[in-house]
Amino acid sequence: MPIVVSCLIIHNPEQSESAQHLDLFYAKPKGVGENVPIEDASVRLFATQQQYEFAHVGNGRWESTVPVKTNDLDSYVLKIDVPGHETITAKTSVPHPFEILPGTYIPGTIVLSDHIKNAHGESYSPSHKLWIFAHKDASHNVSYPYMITSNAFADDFNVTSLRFGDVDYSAIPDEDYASFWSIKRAKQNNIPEAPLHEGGFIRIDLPDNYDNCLDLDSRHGLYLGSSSEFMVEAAPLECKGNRITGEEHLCILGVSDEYDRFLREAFSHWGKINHDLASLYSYDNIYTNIQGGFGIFGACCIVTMDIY
Amino acid sequence: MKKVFCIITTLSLFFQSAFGQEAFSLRNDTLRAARVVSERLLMSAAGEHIVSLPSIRVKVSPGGDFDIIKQIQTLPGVSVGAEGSSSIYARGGNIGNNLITIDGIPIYGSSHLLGLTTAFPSEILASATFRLGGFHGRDNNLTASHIDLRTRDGDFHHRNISAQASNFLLGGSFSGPIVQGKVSFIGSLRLSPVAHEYRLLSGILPGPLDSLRNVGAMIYDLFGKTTYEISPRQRLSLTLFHSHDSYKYAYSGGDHHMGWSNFVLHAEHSLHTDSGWTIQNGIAFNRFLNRQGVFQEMSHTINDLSIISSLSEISSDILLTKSIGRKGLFQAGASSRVAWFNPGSSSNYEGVSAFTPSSVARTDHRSKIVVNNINMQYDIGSDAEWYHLMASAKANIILSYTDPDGKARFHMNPEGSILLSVRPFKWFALEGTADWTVQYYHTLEGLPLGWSLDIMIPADSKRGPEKSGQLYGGLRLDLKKHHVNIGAFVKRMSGLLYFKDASRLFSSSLSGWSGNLDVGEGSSRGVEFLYDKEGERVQWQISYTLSKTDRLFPTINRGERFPAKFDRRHIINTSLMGTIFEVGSVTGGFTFGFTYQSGHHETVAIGEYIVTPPFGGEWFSVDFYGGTNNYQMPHYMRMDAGVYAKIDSRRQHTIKLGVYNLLNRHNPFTIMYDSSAMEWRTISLLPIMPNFSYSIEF
Repeated sequence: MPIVVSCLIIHNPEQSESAQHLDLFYAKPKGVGENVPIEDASVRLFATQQQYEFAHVGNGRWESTVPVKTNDLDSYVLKIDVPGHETITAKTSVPHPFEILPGTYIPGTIVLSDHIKNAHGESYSPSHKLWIFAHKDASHNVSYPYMITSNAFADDFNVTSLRFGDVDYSAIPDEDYASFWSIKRAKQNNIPEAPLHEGGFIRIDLPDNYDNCLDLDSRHGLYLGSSSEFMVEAAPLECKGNRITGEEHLCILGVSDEYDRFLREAFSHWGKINHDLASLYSYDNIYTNIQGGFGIFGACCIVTMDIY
Repeated sequence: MKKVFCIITTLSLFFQSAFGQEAFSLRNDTLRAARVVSERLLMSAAGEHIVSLPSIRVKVSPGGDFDIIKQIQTLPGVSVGAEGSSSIYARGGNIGNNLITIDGIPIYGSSHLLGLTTAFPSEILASATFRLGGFHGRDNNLTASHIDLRTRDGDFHHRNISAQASNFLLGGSFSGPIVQGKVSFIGSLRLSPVAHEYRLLSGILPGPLDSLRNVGAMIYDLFGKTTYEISPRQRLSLTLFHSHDSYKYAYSGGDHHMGWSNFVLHAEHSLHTDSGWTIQNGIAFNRFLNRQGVFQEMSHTINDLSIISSLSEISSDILLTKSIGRKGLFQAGASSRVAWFNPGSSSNYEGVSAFTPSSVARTDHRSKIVVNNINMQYDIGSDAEWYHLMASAKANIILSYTDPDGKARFHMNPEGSILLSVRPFKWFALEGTADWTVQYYHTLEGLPLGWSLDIMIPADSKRGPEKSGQLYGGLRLDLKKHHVNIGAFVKRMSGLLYFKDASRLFSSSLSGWSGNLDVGEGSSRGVEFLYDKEGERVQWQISYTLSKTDRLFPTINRGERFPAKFDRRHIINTSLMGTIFEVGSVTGGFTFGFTYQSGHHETVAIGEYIVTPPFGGEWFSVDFYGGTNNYQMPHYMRMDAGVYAKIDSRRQHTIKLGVYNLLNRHNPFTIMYDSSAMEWRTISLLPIMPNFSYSIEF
C-alpha cells in the first residue's frame, strides 16, 4: 500500500520556533482494517541553512528533535526513507505573512490589510488564498458546523442550500435573545439570505480567479483594504437550551498553493461521498505533492482573532 | 443513488408502449438518387445512414413512443451511455458533440421522461438521417455526428387524424388542408400521465417506492407547422415546437425539482427560379432552459433556490442550390446566429448586503456569442453512379462577448469535409470520408442518463472551441438483397472539456462551475461492420464495432491517458423484423433485437487514507484510485422481442405487445462502495419490461 505523509509547517510571527510534527501511515484497502502507522523510517527536513531530524513519538506521529525555526518565504524540502520503499520527497514554501484587522466602518467585520512590511522592511500587498476556521473556544478544538460570510470572493464549493435565516434560534432564552450577537449583526448586515458554508470553514479565493463581471482593478480593490470589510459569522444551527456565549475564535490561514489545492480537493471529496447522486461521478486522486506517496507537505501563515 | 434508482425503477414498472403509428409510407431520402428498395431497415453510404421510419416503429423500446435515438444506438460507430437512456457517444465523441436538428434548427434538450425517450413525436417526421462523416456544408457546430430530422408538411388535400395511447404517453396528431391545395397544417400534442400512474402504483406497491414522496411530473410536447404553397415553385412554412419536462419530489426532508424545456419558432421560405436556382432562407428563435433546485421555507414564505441554465438563439440562414450539368450539384450558403448564454446562474444571493457592492453579481455567467458562417458544397455523381464526390467547406467567423471586460473577441475557424465513393462494379464500392470540424458550444456533462440537465457554455478565450479531425475508409457490397458495409476510422479531438466536479450539478455550488474545468484531447479508432438484408417479409440487420477511445487532460490521472468512460471495445447489435401473416386487412408480425456490448469504465477506489483537517475537526477518509476509469464493468447484454398487428380497415389500428430485456438481465450500470455494509455493490437500472401500445388513424 502507498505511504501517506501529512505535514504542515505553520508560521506564526508571534512564535517563530516550535516543534514540527509529521504523520506517517500506510494507506489501507477500502473498508478493511485500521491505518498502519510507520514507525521505522528516516525523516529529515531541510531548510535554507539547516537540517532537522525527526523521531517517532507514537502511533505514526513524528516530531522534530529540535524546534524548527520558520521565516517568511522560507523553502523546505522533506525527505523520508522507509525500508523497502523508494525515497519520498516533497517541497513547500512559507507564504507571505498577512494582517487581518478589525473593520472600522461597520462593527463585527474584518478586513485584509492592503499593505504590510515583511521582515526586511519592504512593503507589499498580500495575495493569499485564505482559509478561515471558526471555533467555539480559544483552544481551537471544537469547530462550528456552518459559517457565512459577505466576502465577495468566498469559494462556493462548500455552500449548502441552507441560509442564515434557517438557523434555529427558537430555544434561546428570552433574556439572552437581545444579547445574541449573531442575530443583531445579521439584522444589521441584512444578510438573512446568505448561504451557509458547511465543514466549519470558508475559503477566500484570489480576485484573479473570479469571473464576476468586475474588472481586475475593481476586484483587487474589493479584496484588499478599507473598502473590503467583510463579515464572517459562525452559525451554530441549533441552540437548544445551551447558553450562547457568542464567542467566535477565528483561525485564519494564508496557505501555500499546494496546501490550498489539497485542502480544497479533500473537502470536496468529503462532501461528495455521502451524496446519493454525486457519489456516481468519476473521481480522481486528490492532489498530492508527495513524490512517491500520498498526502500533503504544506505551509501556512496563521492569524488568530477572537470575536465576542 | 437510491433516489435515481427509485425514479428509474418506478418508471420501468409501468407497461411501456412501443411506437405510435405508421401514418405514412413517404420516404424522403436525403442521399441523392439513393435507391429505395422494398423494405430496408436503413440505407447506408459513406458516413451516413438513412433510417426507415415506418420500419422501426414496430420495434421494442423502453421509453414508450417511437424513438429515433434508440435506433441510432444500434448502428456501428455508436456507443451507448446508461441503459435505456438517450445518450449517444459517436466515434469516441461526447454526448455534447452530437448535433440534433429539426429542419436545420438545433434541439439542445432532446430527451423526455428522464432520458427514456425523445421529445420528437413520430408523426411529424418525414426523414431521419444519421451522419457520422462527410458532413454537409450546412451542418454546423458539431464534432461527432449529425442527427438530421426533417418534418413533414401537412397534407394539402386530405385530412388525417391519429391518436395513440400507451402507459407513458398519450397523444394525437392532425394533418390536413386549411385551404385546399394551398395551405396545410400538421400538428401533434403528447402528454404523459406518469405522475398519476406513480401515485397509483405507489399505493399498490409500497416499499420500494417509499423513498420518494409527493412525486409530481409534467411532461408534454407540442408541434405545429403551417405550410403555404404560394406557387408550384414557392413555399412558405411556419413551425412551432415546444417540449417540457418537469419533475418534483420530496426526498430526505427536502422538496426537490428539476426540468428542462425547448421552444423553437421557425419560418422558412423556398423558391425555385427559372434559371435553375433553388433559394431557401429561414429565420428562427430557439430557447433551451434547464433548472434544478429545492424549495425552502424561509421567513414563512416558500423560496425557490434554483440553479438555472439557459441558451437563447436568434438565427437566420440562406442556401442557394443549383444543378451543374447532369451530375453536379452546387450549394452555397450563409448563416448568422446570436446566442445568449446564462449557464448555472443562481438565485442564492438575493438580497444584496451592505458589504456586497451592488455591482457585483456573484453568480452571473451571462455571455453572448455571434457566429457567422459561410459554406459551400459541391457534389458530383451519386451513389447510383459509379462515382460520387462531395466536398464541403465552411468558415465560422465568431464574435464572442464572454470575457469579463465585455469586449468582443474575434475568432475564425475553417472546416471542411470530403466524401468519395467509387463503384467499379455494380455490387462493389470503395468509399471514404475526411472531416475537419469545429464546435463552439461546450457541454458540461453530468450523469450519462440523457437527462437534459447538462449546462452549455460558449467557447471563450480561456476555453477555445472543440476541434476534430477524422478519416474513414471502407467498402460496400450490394449483393441483391444483402448489403454489407465494412470500414475503419481514426479520429483526433482537441479542446475537450472535463468537468472536474460534475457532482456540483446536484449542489447549490453549481454556480461555481467555471473554476472546475480542464481542457484536453482525445483519440478514437475502430472498425465498423454493418450487414442488412432486405425483404418483403423478413429484414435483418447486424452491426459490429471494434473500437478504442481515450482521453488526456493535464490535471486528470496525473496527466496520463485514460480510457473514455464509454469506451466499449466490442459492440454487437442485431435486429430482425418479419411479417408472420397477412389475412385480408390484418397483418401480423414480429420484431426481435439482441445486443452485446463490452462493459464501460468506472473509476473505483483501491484503497483509502485519512485526512486530518487543521485546527480541530474530525478526520475523514479519502479514497485513492489506481487511475481514472480504471475498472471495466461486466459486459452488457439484452434481448427484446415483440409482436404487432395492423388492421387496415376504414380506420387503421395498430396494436403492439413487446418485452424489453426479455432475459431480465440486471446489467450493471455502476459500482459503488456501501460503507455501512462494507462491501462493493453494482447497480442496474432496467429489469424486464413488458409493454404495449395502441394507435388509431382515421
